[in-house]
Amino acid sequence: MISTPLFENEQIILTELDFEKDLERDAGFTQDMRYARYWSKGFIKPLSKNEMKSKYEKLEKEMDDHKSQFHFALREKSSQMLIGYLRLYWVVWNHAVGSMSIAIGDPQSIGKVEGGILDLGLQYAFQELNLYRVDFHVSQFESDLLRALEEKHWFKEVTFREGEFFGGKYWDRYVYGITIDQWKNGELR
Amino acid sequence: MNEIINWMEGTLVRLIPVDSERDSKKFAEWHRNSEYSRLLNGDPALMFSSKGIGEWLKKNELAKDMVFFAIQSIEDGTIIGEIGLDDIQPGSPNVFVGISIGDPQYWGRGYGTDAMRILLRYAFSFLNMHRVSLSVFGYNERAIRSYEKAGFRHEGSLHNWLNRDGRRWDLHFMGILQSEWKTEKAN
Repeated sequence: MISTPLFENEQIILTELDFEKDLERDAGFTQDMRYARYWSKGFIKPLSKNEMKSKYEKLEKEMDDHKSQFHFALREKSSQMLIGYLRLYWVVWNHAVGSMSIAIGDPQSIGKVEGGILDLGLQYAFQELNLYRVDFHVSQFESDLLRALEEKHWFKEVTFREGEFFGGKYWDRYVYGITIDQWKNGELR
Repeated sequence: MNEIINWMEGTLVRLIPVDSERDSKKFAEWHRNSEYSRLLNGDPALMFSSKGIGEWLKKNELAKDMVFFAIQSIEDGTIIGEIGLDDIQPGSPNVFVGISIGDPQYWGRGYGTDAMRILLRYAFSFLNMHRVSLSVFGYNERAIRSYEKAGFRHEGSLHNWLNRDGRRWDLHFMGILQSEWKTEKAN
């Protein structure tokens, strides 16, 4: 029997997008430009409910068309309220590699949930998608995510010097990575 | 005004717009060489009809978020490869460059380096990019040397990213800042 739950830990559940309940709350989170970045390409701005709906629709279509992207809404387990997203994307099947992104919009959750979500993301990547390695692109100013990546023994592999302009300053962008073997060793630690 | 008369011309090559009608047959032929395809990207090496390539080139010709040039030999006018900046985003200081020399007789002779120098001059002098990045496979040593000559610095590697020919290879990233490019040019 396979009984390991893929979509929950003690604090968080991963679910599908909810067009009925989430749009207003998710759009509201983008008033924080740090969170807006995760829903924008280059051109960062807070989004309206309608813009968020259009993002959700595009995302669902892309997931369906290409099968190289796996997006989950993140919810706080007890209240079921949306707190952000977890996404596996740019999955390249012939090399068994992919990238992960975590965006936390709920101010109460920032700095408290990242480590547990990294664990859920890797469990899905390695035990369901059967990837060999996973990358995580992260900005220098995302201190909570950086701390979680270090605590979970990901390896900093690339530094794009001044690769991002945010809040009037240039920041480095890092790529962290972990292979299935490194992940298994970490599980034993 | 400065002294550069033709910004898109170097010593061996010039960059000209890709023309789907003129170039699609040649691009399709390049893909028959699996060595070329396996240097080009991480997709499974594959061939495409010149009709299919023509449609893809036409879409790129008209795209608003990328620039795409054919690399033309100055000596005889032959189209020997392509170079471009992909996914240019407003507000982003960074852009990725991709280059390929399709005709193997021009490999290892400085044509790619010359094309890259022109492209960097274009990206920094006209688009005012803050930096230009690229990725290159661990087995493409010739390209790595060329990028170093053009001024790119190593910024790290994704360990064992690629699976080809029965083993895994690193994916390297390199980058150059506008300030580094200016300093190098001044020297």
